[in-house]
Amino acid sequence: MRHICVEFWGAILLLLSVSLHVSDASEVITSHDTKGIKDIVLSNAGSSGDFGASLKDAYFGSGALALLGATDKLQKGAVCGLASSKLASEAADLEAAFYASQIQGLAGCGDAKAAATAEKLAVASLEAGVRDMRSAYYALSTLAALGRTAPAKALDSALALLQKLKASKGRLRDTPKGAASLTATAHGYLAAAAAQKVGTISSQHMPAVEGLLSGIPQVLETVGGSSFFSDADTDALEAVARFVQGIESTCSDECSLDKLQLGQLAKMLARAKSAISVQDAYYVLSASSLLTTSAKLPKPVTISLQSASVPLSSPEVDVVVQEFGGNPAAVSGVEGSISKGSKGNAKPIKFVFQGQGSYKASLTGLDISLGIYRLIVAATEGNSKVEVASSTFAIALTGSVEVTEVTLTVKGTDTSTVKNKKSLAYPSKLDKKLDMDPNSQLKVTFAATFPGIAQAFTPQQAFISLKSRASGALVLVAAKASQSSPNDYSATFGPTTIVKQIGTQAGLFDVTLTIGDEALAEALVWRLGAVSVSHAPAGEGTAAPTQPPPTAAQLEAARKPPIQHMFRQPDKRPPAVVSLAFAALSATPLLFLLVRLSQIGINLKGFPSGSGATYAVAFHGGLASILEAAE
Amino acid sequence: MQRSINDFKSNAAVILKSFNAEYTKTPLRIKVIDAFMVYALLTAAVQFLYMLCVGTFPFNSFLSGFFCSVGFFVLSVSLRMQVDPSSDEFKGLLPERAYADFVLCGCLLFLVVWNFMG
Repeated sequence: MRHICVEFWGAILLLLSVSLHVSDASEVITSHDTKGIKDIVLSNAGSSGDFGASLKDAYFGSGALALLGATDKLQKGAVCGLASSKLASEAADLEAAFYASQIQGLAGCGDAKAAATAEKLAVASLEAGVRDMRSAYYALSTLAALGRTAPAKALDSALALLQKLKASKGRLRDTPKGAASLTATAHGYLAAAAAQKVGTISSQHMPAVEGLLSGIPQVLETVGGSSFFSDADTDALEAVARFVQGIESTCSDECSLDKLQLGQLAKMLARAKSAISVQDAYYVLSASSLLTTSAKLPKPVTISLQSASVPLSSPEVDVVVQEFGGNPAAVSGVEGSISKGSKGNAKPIKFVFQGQGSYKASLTGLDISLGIYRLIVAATEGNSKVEVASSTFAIALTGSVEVTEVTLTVKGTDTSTVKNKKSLAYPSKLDKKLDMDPNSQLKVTFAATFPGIAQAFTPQQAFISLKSRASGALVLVAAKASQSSPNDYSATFGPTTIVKQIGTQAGLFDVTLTIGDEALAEALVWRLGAVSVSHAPAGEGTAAPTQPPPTAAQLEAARKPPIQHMFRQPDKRPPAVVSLAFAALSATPLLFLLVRLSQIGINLKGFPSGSGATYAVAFHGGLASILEAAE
Repeated sequence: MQRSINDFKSNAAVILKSFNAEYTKTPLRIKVIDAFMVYALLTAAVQFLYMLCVGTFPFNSFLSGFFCSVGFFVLSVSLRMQVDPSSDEFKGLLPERAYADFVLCGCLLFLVVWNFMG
């Protein structure tokens, strides 16, 4: 149950640790952030160290510096003087008394007069009856910080507020926003803890105080919900920090906190990356240090990978398991698995303790090759191997590439005539340039070996590059592996290859063989020498070019020729007289029809008369209109 | 050879004479339909002749015109069969009903042809 919570902390609460590498951490507070927080506090303190004469800022600043272990940076005289002067003023209230008493405790001011004023304000407030939980906390905490006691009657009003907490099953619900509600609840916890220090809690209030403990899991369940805090909750950091302080002060033993809920709290604290005020700095430092140092909560364990690049020649993975702050974590064992990607078959690996929180695992015998792998490491505790931390890393199993010999062959374009052939041993280069005329091409063959790898390996890049000495233009030709022998590569190119990529650029080109891969510790770059390239001359009578031929990039960016639309050729039409003649001819049957109808004696004698004529005309008119409409 | 031609001519003349004699007995209504059928056939023939002499361009128009004529001829044949009093096949069918069918099919034919003509 605890390990996920610890994972969150491992990712987030690295506030004071020094650059531990933890993967899968979306929000990590680094030492750089810690320095930033410290800078914020010191800049707010100012050169005089009195935090701009703000008692509130002085309280939060003093607390933050104490948590950072930088009390030497605190100008005690300035803050003590500020506390005394604020309490001496007529405007001093309960809040001022609270801040001043806390400052006195942190800075060790020893101002008896100021302490008496603070006590007086706190007791007066209690006797007058505190209205909200924050006032109760301020009053009781002031007395606790001063080491004073409070009369039982004065405690009554503060403790009566706790009844509200009990009635609302652990969390005050009379505040509109989630953060304010949680802050009030946390102040209830803190007030109850302070009340136990400053006086005797009567049997009347004991059930309410004890009810706080039983309500904590329920509150955590509510707070852990994703919708509890909204973006509008600007005081969410205060709520979380006070809540953690409240739990720490109230729980008598390890609280049975849900890991996800604590993770939610830890995420909230991660917002401290954007802390811009002294108040924020204090809250995040206070809560994170309590979460990680209190014995009442599980301590976060972080797993860091010593090197994300492991040579395949000695495949060993080193991890360090540490507690917050960098001390070696007391875990009973570390287990892990390695797989090719997230969906690959995970192979278990066993880590061996090396001392000082360091663990080592050998990858020998796992039948793995070069490449990037996913490594999952988990720290376990106890005989039942409860997982207390887990981290996922990407590691590269690296190797090297060797090419001992390269053969450069200049052949005729018919590929049968060998015009020139040179073999080079690494890392020598051609002592004399090779000529590549329009009727020849260059074939570069080589065998790439990867020492210590039994399986076949195809590097991501294996190519020959030709760089023009005149223009610097680059021609790239991929080397292809032989199907029968995967380690044998060849690349063949000629002037036409150059023309396709950079145009008709001739002259000397430097030839370089490059083999690279993310799994190779170092890419192989072998400068083979130079070739002289010439292109076929232009046709006889053609004027010499006035400027160098365009490069591929220039050709790409050049203005394209205008688009010529292609239309279908119209069909052959007969002469107009032919069409007209046939039109007349097609009308002759109509003449025949009329003649024939007159011959057979057609007449309209049968046409209806009277009202029937109307219907008959309407019928034939309808037909005519239909045909007319169709046309 | 000459004799066979003369025989053919005399036989043809006899056939035609006999046909004319019989055709005069045909009801007027049937004769009108026959006139329309011949008219349709002649129109189709002229278009077919044009296709042979000039070509099919525009092809849609040629097909429309040709099949319109042929279609009209077929519908006329159907009408003739249905209104022929000497035929027993459609004895119970009223001539008005046959004419209505003819009109409906004719309208449909002309509608399709007009849309296909392009």
